[in-house]
Amino acid sequence: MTTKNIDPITLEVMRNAFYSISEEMNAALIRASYSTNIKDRRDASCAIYTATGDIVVVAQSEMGTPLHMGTMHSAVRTALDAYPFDELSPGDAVAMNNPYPGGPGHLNDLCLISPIFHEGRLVALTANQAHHVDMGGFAPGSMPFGVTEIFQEGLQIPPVRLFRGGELDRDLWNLISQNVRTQVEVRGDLFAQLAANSVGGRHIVQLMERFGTSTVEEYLEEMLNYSERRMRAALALIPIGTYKAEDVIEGDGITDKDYVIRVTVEAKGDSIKCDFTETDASALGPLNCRWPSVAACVYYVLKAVLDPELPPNAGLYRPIEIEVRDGTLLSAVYPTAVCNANIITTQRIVDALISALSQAVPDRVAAASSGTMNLLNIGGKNPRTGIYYNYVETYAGGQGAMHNQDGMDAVQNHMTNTRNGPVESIEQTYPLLVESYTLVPDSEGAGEHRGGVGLRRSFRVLGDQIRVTLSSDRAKYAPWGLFGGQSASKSSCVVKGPDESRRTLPSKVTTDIGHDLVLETTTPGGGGWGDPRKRDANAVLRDVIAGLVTPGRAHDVYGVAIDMEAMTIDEPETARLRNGA
Amino acid sequence: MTYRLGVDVGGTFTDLVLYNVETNEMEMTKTPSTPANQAEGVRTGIQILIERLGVPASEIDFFIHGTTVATNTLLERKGATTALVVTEGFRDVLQVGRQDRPDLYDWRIPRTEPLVPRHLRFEVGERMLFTGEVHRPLDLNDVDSVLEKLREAQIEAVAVCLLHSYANPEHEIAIGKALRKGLPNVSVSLSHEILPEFKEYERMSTTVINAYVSPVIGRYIGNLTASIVDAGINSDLYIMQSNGGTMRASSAVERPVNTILSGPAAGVIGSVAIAKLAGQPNAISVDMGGTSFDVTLSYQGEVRQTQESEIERLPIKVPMVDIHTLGAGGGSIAWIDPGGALRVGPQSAGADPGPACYGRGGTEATVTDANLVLGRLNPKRFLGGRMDLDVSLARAAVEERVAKPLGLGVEESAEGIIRVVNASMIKGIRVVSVAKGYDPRDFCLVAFGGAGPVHSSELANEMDIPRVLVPIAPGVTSALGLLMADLRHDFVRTVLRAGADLTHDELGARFGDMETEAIERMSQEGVEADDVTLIRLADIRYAGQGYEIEVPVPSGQLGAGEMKLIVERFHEAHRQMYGYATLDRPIEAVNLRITALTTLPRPELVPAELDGREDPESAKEGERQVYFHGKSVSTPIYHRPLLRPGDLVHGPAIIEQEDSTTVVWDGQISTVDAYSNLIVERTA
Repeated sequence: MTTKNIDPITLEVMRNAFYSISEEMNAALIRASYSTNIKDRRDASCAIYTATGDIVVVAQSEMGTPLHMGTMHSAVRTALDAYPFDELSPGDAVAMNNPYPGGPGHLNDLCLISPIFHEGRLVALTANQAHHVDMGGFAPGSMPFGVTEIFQEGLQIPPVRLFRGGELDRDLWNLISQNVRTQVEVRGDLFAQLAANSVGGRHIVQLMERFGTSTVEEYLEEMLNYSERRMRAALALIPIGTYKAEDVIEGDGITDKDYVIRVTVEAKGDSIKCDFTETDASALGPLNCRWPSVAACVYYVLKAVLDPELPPNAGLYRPIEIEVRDGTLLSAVYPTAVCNANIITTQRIVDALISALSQAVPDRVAAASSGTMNLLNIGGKNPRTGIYYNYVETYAGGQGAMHNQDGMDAVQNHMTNTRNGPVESIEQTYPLLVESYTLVPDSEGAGEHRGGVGLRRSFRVLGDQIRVTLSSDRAKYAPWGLFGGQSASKSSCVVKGPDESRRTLPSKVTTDIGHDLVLETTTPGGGGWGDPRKRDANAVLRDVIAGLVTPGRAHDVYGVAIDMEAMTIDEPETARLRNGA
Repeated sequence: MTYRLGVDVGGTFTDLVLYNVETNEMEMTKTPSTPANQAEGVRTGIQILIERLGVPASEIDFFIHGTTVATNTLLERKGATTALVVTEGFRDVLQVGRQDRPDLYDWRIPRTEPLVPRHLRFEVGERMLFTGEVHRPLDLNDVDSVLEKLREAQIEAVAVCLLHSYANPEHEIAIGKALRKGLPNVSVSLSHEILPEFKEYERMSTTVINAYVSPVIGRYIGNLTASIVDAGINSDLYIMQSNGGTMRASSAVERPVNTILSGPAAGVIGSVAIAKLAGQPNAISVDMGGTSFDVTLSYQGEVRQTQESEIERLPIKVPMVDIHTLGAGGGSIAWIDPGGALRVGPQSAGADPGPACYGRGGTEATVTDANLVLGRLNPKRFLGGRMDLDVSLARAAVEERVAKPLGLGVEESAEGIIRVVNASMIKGIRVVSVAKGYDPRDFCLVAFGGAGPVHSSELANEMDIPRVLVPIAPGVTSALGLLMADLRHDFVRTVLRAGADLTHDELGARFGDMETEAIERMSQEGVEADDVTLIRLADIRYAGQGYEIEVPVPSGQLGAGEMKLIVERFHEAHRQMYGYATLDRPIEAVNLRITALTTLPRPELVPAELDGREDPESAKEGERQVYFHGKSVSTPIYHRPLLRPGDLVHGPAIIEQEDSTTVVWDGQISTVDAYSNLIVERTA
């Protein structure tokens, strides 16, 4: 142990207490929030910080997204640089949503930070970051394609004191509410954010009253040391060496140009460096990142690959060096557009990192997963009510296979884990008829262990014309397999007419679709692992019985012949296919 | 009416409580459980009661049972071969679920396999709209061909879940008829009967679970009913439900999904009934056994319920007692994690090999080993002396697994294990209290299960909970709870309407229909309409919100005044829960709910006359060295059966009884109340 006062038992007691408090912040935020975005999709995170702005505990159950892990730390750092927190008063809270110079990944994510005072001084901070439905700008939802500057994306809020003594600052609120489309939701969610911070602050003070202020402060610091120790121990699992990889994003909604993300991972024993400086220049469209989003992806991948249970905090960051170059896709220069980077670019950063690590620790990674959140935003006027509606959902896809197990079918991967919209509530709320919601047979990346299959949903437009924004990728380059495993199927989105006409949409687009047409969106599968001809023939048979792999594909790709009458493996023919000429 | 019998089957023991209605006396007994066929253990127990007490079986005229058959069937995946029939285009809803992965960071953790494999999920052409309008008529040819395939597949149970069947069940009813006629030996579960509520995945999952456990429950209840008849008991069989109420066995056979928490719910009902009698309507019940810690909160005498929970990550949407479970029990294993922190659980040594001190080859240090090292457990009186514990094995395990790696002493390490397991229990208590807006300092901690009372006094100290209650027989709280429960049925209907569109006449009519159905169901269970209490609730939200609040609705005729009252109640409830209300915002009614209740005669626990004795000297059985706060303290040991109401035991002290041990800390005092409960409070 590093300090003589620190003991491993109190550490665990404190850890439980800190996590309880962060979960209670989560519960308060979910309960008090107004929008379905927080209540249902759970796109928000709550955290406790040291007084100097190191993130210590992020709540993980019920709610929390990997992306916020990196961006919340930077948001608070930026706010502390801009604002003398020890001059604030109890009940004050500082808000900010701007990715520039460092903060959340897009303007929808608003971070609210509250000081905790005890015994007359600043002792800690609580903060939470929540995705607001709308922050103004070019299009409803504030995540459009067709924009090239952050000014078009929405309202930029630098660190400002939004709450004073628990009251929403009237002047600031008037300014904000004039600039957003959904005032009621934004206001309700802001109060929920304040409620969450207050709950956290109150319980931290109670903890300090019970155990002593300095003890709690010491253990907040020790939590950082603890995560650092675990991260260093985990990093040592990667053989020392340099591992390079790259992956591609297809176009930016304005041009069809490919953008390549390049990473060089340098494993140095108990520390690591991830260098992205060779990545392509910034995109014209809103796919650009700032450093905190890149960092979030690195932290996510290292934690998931090496030690999934590791408590994520600023201690974990210490042994990790991340380098980006200004003017590239991963270090955008003000005022370059950024709003869709969370949806697309972060998933591709993860793919590139996993590809690099697959060379070092193959048994700990998975082949490429679907690689797109496939966000669909449908808006229009509801003929039943005459009111404008806006439907948003991200879609699951196949998970990449691992060295000893198949990938999951149709599941949220990596940087997102939001839930789907039930068919019965979609139809109740929007003038849409869901015609099918199914797994996609033969979409898996074949392998000794197969990737998961993708997902397909089709909607019929019941009302008037609708406006659709699709934010997707992997329509051109499929999710890849590893070690002989094949790549999976690609994404697609088509509009079908009554006369069998089909119009394929580009992967990043905003377009209109008329009455009674059918919109069918299909997500990619996950990549396979190992030679498909080594796959357990019984597992192939199971997939054929389930209807997820067709007999022809079983024969051609897996080399397994199936007697479809008896639903058994044709052993001699399979042997011939697998061993023969 | 002479005798009422409650029988609760637990993992280790089957507990029986026999209540004599005329004399108001109770008799309890235990017999080992028989997991392969729980009915055997129940039969043995009844035999003991009849022979030992000489009770003529014919005088037992009420028999109520808490069972874990449904839960175990699900956990062990030993249910029926089940098929599912769905709307064309939606075969995979059951598999995709809500599309989220189980663990945010650990992508190796797979989702739970659906109970019905894909090749047994069949589509039929049909479509309803949310309005209840038929968009596409049912294709009868599809129904015939599904019937044929089901026959070939030799299934034992089938679930039917069509889109929007909550709004119009016509097609489900037609399919149900065809299935029941064509496959007379197959158990059929229709989603609109099991859960007429919107959101297709949760309704489908609940219906499938019902179908999956139904044949197993049917056989079990059939067997048990036969044994009751054989034994000459003159009673229908009643079954405890997950909602804390009871139902007739015939209803349980139709809706076995309602018995998933049958056993644990009884424990909560029992503990809350005891706490209420003792003047503690606000109770946090904690049940700690060998592998798990269950915690439930009751406020003003009402047990908190949840409408939605999960078993093994499969959603079940029926009303249940809201029990939060943690992997912390006597068998939980202590370990050092890669960051150098001491951790306890969730891995458990189970019953075999069990804690090191059992001497069955276990070498891991467990919570029970730590308690033994600290002197808090008596090696000679574990499980009423049926089992000796080996202190030296416990010490060796704690030394090897914890003390050496951390460079601490053995006792210090043992205390560390207890502090750490307590910390995770505190976290669990906070989940049901603080996180839901309740202050634990306003509650009484009711401790039961074998290990609960060993830890409860320290938990109360740590959380400033003013008082702990340990019932007279912490091990049979569940069986007692069975005799305390009401007969109960819950009903729900989705309406999904904007508040402005819903007239008082329509709302009144809908509740009226549901009440007719409720009275009908209760009369099937032999209850007269006049004896039924009906409670109306509506799930309401602001338009566009994803979460509803349950609001009480007045009974009888509904007029404009009642509608206004409902809306006001909603705003008020919203303000109370969330801190604000938006009076000008439109609201929506989502679900209507009816709870039908009837009270059954229950044991009246009678307070003892206090005789003025306070000194428990005669219950004292010597002293032993017990570790508290790093010091070995010579501590008096009391034998609980010898304590009498009114006795005061000053801490530090250990109070031992057959099925548990209560630790009283320095600075605490334990009083035996008039109902023979131990009440532990702070002296200062």
